[in-house]
Amino acid sequence: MITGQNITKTFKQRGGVLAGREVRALRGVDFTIPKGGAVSFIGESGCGKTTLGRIIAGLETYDSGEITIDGTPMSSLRPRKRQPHFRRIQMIHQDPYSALNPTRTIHQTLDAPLSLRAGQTGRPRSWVDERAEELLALVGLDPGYVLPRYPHQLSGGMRQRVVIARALTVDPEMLVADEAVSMIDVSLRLGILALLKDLRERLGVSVLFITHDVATARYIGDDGELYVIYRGQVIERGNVDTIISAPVHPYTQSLLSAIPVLHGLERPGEQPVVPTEALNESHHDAGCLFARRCPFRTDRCESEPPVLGRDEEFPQEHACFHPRRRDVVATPIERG
Amino acid sequence: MPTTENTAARNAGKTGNAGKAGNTANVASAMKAPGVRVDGLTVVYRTPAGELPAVRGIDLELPAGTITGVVGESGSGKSTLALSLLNAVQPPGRISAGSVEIDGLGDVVKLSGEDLRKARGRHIGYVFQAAQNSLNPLKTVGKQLLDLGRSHEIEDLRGLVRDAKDLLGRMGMDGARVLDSHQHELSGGMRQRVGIMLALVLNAHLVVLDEPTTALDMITQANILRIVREVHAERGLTTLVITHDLGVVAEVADRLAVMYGGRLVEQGPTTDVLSAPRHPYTQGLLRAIPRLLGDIGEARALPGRPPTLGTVPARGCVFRERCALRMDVCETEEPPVVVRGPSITACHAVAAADAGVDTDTTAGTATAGADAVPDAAHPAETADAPESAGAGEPAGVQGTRGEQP
Amino acid sequence: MTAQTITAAGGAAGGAGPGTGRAALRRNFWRGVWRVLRRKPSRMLGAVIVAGFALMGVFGPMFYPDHLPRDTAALYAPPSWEHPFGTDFEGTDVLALLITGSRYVLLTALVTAVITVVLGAAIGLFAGFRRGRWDTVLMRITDMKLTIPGLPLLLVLSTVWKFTSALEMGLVLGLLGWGGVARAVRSQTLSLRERGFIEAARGLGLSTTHIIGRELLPSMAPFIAMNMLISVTGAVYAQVGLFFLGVLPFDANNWGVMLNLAVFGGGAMSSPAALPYLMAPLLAILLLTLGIVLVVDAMDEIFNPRLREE
Repeated sequence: MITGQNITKTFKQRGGVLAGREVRALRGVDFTIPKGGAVSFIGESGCGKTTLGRIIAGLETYDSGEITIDGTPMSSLRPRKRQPHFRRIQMIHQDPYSALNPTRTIHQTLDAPLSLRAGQTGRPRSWVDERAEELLALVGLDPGYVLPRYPHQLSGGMRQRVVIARALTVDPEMLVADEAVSMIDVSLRLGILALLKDLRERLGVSVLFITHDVATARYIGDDGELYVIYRGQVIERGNVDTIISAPVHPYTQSLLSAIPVLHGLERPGEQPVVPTEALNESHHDAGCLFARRCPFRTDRCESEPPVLGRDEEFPQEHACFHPRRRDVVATPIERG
Repeated sequence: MPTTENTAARNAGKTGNAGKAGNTANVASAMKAPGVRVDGLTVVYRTPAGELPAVRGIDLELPAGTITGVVGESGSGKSTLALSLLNAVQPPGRISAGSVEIDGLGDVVKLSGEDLRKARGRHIGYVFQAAQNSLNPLKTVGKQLLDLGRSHEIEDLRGLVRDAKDLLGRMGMDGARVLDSHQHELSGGMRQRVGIMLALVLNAHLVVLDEPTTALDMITQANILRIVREVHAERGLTTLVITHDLGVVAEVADRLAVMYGGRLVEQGPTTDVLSAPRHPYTQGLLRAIPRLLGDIGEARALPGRPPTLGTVPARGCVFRERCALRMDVCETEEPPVVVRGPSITACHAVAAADAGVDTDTTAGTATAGADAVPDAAHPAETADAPESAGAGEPAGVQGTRGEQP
Repeated sequence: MTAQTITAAGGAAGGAGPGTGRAALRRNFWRGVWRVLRRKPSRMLGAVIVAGFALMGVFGPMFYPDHLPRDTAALYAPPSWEHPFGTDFEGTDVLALLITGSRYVLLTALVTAVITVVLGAAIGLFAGFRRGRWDTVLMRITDMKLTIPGLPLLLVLSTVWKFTSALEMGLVLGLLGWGGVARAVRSQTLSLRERGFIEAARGLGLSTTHIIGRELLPSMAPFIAMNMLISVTGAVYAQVGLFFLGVLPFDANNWGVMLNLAVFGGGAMSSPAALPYLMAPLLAILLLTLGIVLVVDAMDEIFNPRLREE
């Protein structure tokens, strides 16, 4: 189980006209990822979801807050001692092209971490090769075909599977998939999603899924939790299917309304929410962060910041003063 | 010329009828929308293994005043097709066969030098893939606009700037401010709007958008697509959208063309193709797209992987290796073109299914297409025909997507 | 360790596919190099020229006595079958001078190139990978080094050091030359370390040695190899220039010395008699440079598995 309390992170712009300007990437985020669970972060680019994912994978530092991995608070350890804990959380990058070293064969790529592990645990050399084949088979690849090849000789989908196999070499507790299918061909995406789901079920690996495409988040499992993040804050949180079918925060509703409708197959939702696009970047931080773009804002929203919480009316948590269910999602047309 | 005007005028009426353009001014500007006929287009790339076709035998008509969406995965040749419309295929690629007839411009494949350069921009606007990054980082948008005007020998640069401001204003931005900005001061969605402005400001009436929304957020994407639709109607354009995302096409396009391995495998009115896809690839693609509601178990990845330039079969059907309906004949014979109403499919299995039911099915090889688009009288309804709203009407009259049930 | 890899993985790969083991990889690599060279005739020519010079430097001097015979009857003889480039002021065969002089020149160039590249790459990699304080310090040193003008320093050095051995000469030139490589390798490292595969390697807990040696270095191999070849030509120019200027004693047989004698002693600029004597070393330098430039063209394809295999 991995938890985080009140994680904050501020980036300072370095060069250029914006030098010195601070960007608040995360404004106090809490999260809990149960063992073997599935959690999805969704939001627009720049909302902080990727930063949060990288922090969880130990690839980025955070300014304040606490991350606890299997009961061990990271603040109690010195940076060097944190590494083995963060190693149990492996990142699957968005771009399988740059995630594999183009000058090394897949065999070499898998060999390095496995050899390291064999050395640490006193396993024989032969284990390394057996394990490499086992892992490739596990992610649905033919070891005989894949092992001697270089990354450029594989398709995008195969490469992403190799990346997943490599992450599995360290027996991770959790995989962080950051837009892991957005660069994969449409016809192959579902295969990767199904693989992640399968690994969850078979190995008990928890999956953190970071995406801007809400529909893909569903494919991790119907018990998954969804975090909707806006400008560094979680604004709605709950079961994936609950939020998709009955979102209450206007931002979630606008995200869902924006998903293209496959006319002919689907009927658009009755009450789409179209936010004003943030074309001028002058952010204001008082009150609700979404207020300026929200079609339903009131005076209260402009002055008072809402807090993420639960009320009796809705099953999910939300951070909105005026939560209301709206029918925004396209429904499949029944055919018979 | 008279023919062109006739077509355009006819089309203007149709656009109006379709309810897309609301007022008379729009109808007036719609008179300029050109039709485009791509005939037997083949583009080959020189590789160490010889010349390989990235795009082969494409027959596609873009009826004047419509939005056509071309969907394909990586390596399907969709971007090459888009570049061919401008005759802008770069070496080692070249157009080896076929023609691209644009009303008022003639066969673009035959143009070269100055004529071609002038045609780009004035007749054909192109919004490049990753337009978000195609601006010059060192110059303000305004300067780049003036450069564009000068290179096309525009006398009235003030007028050009005015038009640009109008267009930007139309897309929800402060024109003056944007023209004074550098690329890095604009967000992705704003840059994409600037790209669309630059493509339209010289009054081009044929617009090609290559992956207009990749790397944009959902909400920005929805807004850009809305803008594309509205500007298309207001200015009376013929628009081609190239994308890997069926959702994008579903949102904007009247007609949908599906590419695979350099071939057009299916085309027709968007709603028809989406509600009743005929080609096994289109069917598989639709099944592979994760949806928000409905049974999660129904979604299925397509087995296999898309072919690359080197692995596309030289003979027979390009999709056969991933196809569930594969037959022996797919190995050797080019798939026949099956025309049903306004829809065209290239598939042996579809042809075989139709042959059993409907003897009237046109099963030509390869060259059916633009001129084979059936006239209104074509009796193509069969027992299992989709209840397509537009069936029986010429393609150009197809109403906007999403307006019929 | 290596042997086991070959047996186990080679078996998995089956007969048709290329083997997975290190030896098989190496074999494939050289096969790939051959394929890349064959792709363009110019590359073959370059490789032949470079190989020719290498052979000349190693074996050439063995065919001549320590003291080359002089033919006092034929001073500044014109080219003939016996003396393809004529003779010098003492009647010594110019070709013989050229060949015996090549060892010093080429050995110096090799030593310079190795030192430049090893030092430059090591410092660049370290600075780029560690960033922070190490980076600042190393790059300040590099900048300082880059501001020292090479030639004047060499002139000063040559007053105290006689550079009789090629190794010494190469060492000095190498120590003067690594700055540019270090800067370039550092910037490459900085961009590569942001790539997914480096981040993944760190996330997997692989050692820094592994990351730098196995992940970063191979990605930069074409770049480093190119720099090495180019610094060979640079070193040839530098030392030949020094000898030509006459700042170094003439006890070593050297192309630079030949140039110097031809111009200042033989009056090659004004009388045609010493012209072949002048042209011979110039031609040699030109040919060597040409060979290297032609080979450099192949480096990208040799070290990039994708371009190599195609």
